[in-house]
Amino acid sequence: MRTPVLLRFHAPALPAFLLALLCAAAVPAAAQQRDTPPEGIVDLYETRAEQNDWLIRDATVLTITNGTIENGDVLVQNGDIAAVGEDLDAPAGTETYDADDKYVMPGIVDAHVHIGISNVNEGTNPVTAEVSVGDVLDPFDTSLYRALAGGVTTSHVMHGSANPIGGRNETIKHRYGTTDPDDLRFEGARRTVKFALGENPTRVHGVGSDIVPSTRMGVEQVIRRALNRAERYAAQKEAFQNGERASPPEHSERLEVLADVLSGEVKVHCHSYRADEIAMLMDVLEDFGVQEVTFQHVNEGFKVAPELAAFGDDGAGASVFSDWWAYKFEVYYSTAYNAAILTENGVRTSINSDSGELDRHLYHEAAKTQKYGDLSDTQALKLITINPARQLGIDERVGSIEEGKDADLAVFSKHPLNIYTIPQRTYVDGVVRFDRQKDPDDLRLFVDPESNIPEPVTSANRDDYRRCMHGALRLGRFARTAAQQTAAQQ
Amino acid sequence: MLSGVPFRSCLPALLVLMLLAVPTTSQAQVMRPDEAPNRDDVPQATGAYAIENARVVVAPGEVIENGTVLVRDGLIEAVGRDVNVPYDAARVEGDSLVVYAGFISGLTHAGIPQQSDGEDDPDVENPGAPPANVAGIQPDRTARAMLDPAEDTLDQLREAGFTTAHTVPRGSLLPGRGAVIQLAGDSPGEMVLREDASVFAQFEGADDVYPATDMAVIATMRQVLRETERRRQVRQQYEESPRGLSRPRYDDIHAALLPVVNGEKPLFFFTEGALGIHRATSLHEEQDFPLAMAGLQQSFAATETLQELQSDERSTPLFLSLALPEEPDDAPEAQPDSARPVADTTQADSLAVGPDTSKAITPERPGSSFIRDLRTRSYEDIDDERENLLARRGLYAERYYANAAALEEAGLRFGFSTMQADAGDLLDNLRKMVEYSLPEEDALAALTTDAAALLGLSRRLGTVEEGKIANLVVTDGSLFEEDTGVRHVFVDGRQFTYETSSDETSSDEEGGNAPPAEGVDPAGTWELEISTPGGTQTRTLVVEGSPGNLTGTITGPEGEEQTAENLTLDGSTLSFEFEGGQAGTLSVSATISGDEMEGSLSVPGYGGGSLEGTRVSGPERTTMRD
Repeated sequence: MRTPVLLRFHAPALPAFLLALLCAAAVPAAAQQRDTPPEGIVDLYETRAEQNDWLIRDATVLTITNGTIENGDVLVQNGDIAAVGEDLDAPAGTETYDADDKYVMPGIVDAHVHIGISNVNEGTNPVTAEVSVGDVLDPFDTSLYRALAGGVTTSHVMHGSANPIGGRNETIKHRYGTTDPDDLRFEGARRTVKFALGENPTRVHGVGSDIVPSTRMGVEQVIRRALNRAERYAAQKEAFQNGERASPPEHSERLEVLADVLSGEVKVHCHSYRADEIAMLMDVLEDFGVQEVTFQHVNEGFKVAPELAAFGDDGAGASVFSDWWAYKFEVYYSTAYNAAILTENGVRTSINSDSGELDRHLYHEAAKTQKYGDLSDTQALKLITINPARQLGIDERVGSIEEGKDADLAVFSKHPLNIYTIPQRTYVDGVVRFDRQKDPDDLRLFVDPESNIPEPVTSANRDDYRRCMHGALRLGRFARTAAQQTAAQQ
Repeated sequence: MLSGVPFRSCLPALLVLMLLAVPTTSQAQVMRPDEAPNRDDVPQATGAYAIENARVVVAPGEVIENGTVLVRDGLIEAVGRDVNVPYDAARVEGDSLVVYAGFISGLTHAGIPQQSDGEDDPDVENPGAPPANVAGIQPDRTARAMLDPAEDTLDQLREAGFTTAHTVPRGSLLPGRGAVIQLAGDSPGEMVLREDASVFAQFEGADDVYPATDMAVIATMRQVLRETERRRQVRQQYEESPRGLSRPRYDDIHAALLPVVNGEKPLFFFTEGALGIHRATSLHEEQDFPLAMAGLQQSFAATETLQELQSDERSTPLFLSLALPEEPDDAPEAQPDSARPVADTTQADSLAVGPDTSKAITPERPGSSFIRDLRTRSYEDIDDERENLLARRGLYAERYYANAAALEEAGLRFGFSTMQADAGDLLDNLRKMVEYSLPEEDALAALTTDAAALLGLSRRLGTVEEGKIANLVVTDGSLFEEDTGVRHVFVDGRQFTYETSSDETSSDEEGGNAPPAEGVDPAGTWELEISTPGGTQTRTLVVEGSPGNLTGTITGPEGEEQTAENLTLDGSTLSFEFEGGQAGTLSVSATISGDEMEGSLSVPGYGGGSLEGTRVSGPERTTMRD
């Protein structure tokens, strides 16, 4: 189960909370145990005016798409960037943030993470396109706030990699403070679905359940078969609509989504490591006329960079780790130059976290491409801003500091690629969602009244544990068994 | 049928039969005058009762003092001050009793047997496509068919004053269809008020097979609802013009969901968490089926959503759980400062900014890359942090307690659900909600009138009015007083009588001293052993007089005597005070059992101790002297 001075709460819901607090103050017995709250306790439901008009002054503004403005101002009005430039005038009464000596960059976009959701993997079936992590968003997850403290404002929250065709992903904004899951959604973001190649799906289904796929060949067949069925399904529906068929085919949530993949409405984001399987999936998608794909992880992407750049109408995307590998056999052949090589070959590349811990320092991850690949400041910052925004189909809204875009901004004490930089403030839609000067000790939005103090840390609630294989069926069993053994030993 | 047999004369015989025939619990003695084992041989009672001279709460806020409620043949025949009690009615002395309409639970598994173990690990060939029953897609099942009138859960709920409940099958995501039942009856058919009231749903996956996660549960619900809609269309098309069309296939699962898709029956969700409220609401808005929800323990984080569900011509039934969180047993003193040593290792770090500010590297220091951090690090003050965490946890517990009041304040209409609530805690939890600002009338409405309205049963249930079903709860005081107990429950005019706990163990809350328990006389000389944190001492206590007029003398180890002040006997509990020297006035409360007493004493500002006593002489009863 599940917190804020700088956090927003829906105004209409507030009276209930106030009431609860008032009641708490007015009642005898149980309540009197704490009639004077200890100092420092912060009730994160405490309301705060949802201030989304700002003038950020005298900062070094890293626009990403239009160069750098020294002593620049960013005017935020009604949650949008109203103007970017020098010595801007703001309407009377606009609150000013003096960012002298500080750096402002667009809010960081994390193209691959598994935070803010109740489930990661539906690992019971090799094809689960019908499920969606968007149905199980969890606004109470404190990881959303911690990411804000690393300048992240948008995340592509993905289904796990247990299945060759997993569930749909959801692009969210880190509007931490809301308790309504729908408020997290990035309205109008491209619909996406997770595919996964290689060891994870073969381990879960082949080794775990003794069903196809046990091999990379099997993974390809599972995907081809599913897409074939979706083609037939779409044809049957069309035939019914044209009057060539008396009744519509039996409804299938799964095939509906896959038919949308074929029509290009849902974009594939594919977990992959090896060059051969990357090439395989490009072949499969070409066979089905699918023009777009972004590969995730892509550790051997450097081997097929030109092929990736040449895929489809606009090239395939690649979303990589900066320098993370060797955690399983298929991930040994890796290099920290991957992002730079892909970038120099014209592949639209981003750096992602896949972790509720790593997402707090994606600016460090981007900086590594300067040591390993000599990318320019702008090239490096694009890896965590406009490039992932394009991969997610949200580059019209976020990913750079431009007039008319959403005021998703991250303020740093030094240049964000400086190893000594410290995030100061993070704005989402012009609202300050993180402020280092007002960072509560206990930022939970929900506290389980039956929890022990301190809450024991387990693999289930460790932020950095939530990766691709979280909740995958067979791994889940291993983990359970291991936990039972540990408990027995103790 | 009863001619010539005076009713009263056969009652004792009936009682004996009843006691033999009906298994009774230690708490409740159940009388079922109309439930003789053989109806041909044993004359029946008329089924008429008169509860006389009671405070009758007709409806929330509407009270008749010294009223009489006449029940006959399962219905309320008359209510008022001037009701003539007919010759054949069994009289229930209602002096100091209060009559309420029977309580209604919006969601429970009462009467539905637990599924037997051993079937929970079926051999599934393909975990991605298990049979519907293993997947938990079972809307074809009905609570009505599973109902077992002998289930203990029915008795437990009834003893808490509940007479009607919406009960649903056990299972995972779609366990089956719910029925509204009366909480007593000889057969399932006799109990059922509405046999097919809802399709029960919850965010419960099937563990190791599809759908294992909430997201797959939601996808599965979409799948079956949309396929039901497709089948409805195909069927309609076929019925209009079957010629040349393949015959649509029938299956129980989609057929069971048809009333939901048609808007005739609610998909009734159980969800305790705020997330579940949002998820059920999203599904409802997307698929456009009638929604009902129970549980709602975290509705304080979804108030706005619920308000929308009861606006714009929507009147989604809501039932708040009568379960409340229990504070974990980790009070501050229970845990030592185990984390303290951590500070030693971290403080060795010269860069750590702690209370020793001489080590702080501040921006003022040229060339420094570190910024002085003024926050208190948790490893430096673990006690403060712990206190904060406890306080926040307490605050959230209070949100749960105040949740009912918050719903009321938000203008929401709700009943109560007893799902996953311990039947023995129901009334205590209700009182806690009232303590946390839920108005008593609203609490009663949620138990009775509002619940009846939300289940569409207002014309039959919810108030103590002529012509309604005789579902009544008779208590020995206001429902919202801590010590009030349920004395009688009538379901369909059938009487159940309970001994309240205050009959068995005395209670000495403000309500005056209970009469001494039979056989307890504290008179005599007692050797007391008093254990306090300061050590163990002995005292001699001499008690004289009769219950109600007791005096006592206490002798210390050195022979010093003093009077035992405020010496009283309440039931079997003896209380008195004496001066404990430097410790001040000590208060003792001890329970006497034969020639032993055992109890506790409180030392002001010091906590407390325990006391044991043995009677070494007496009691010197006057009756014995005679």
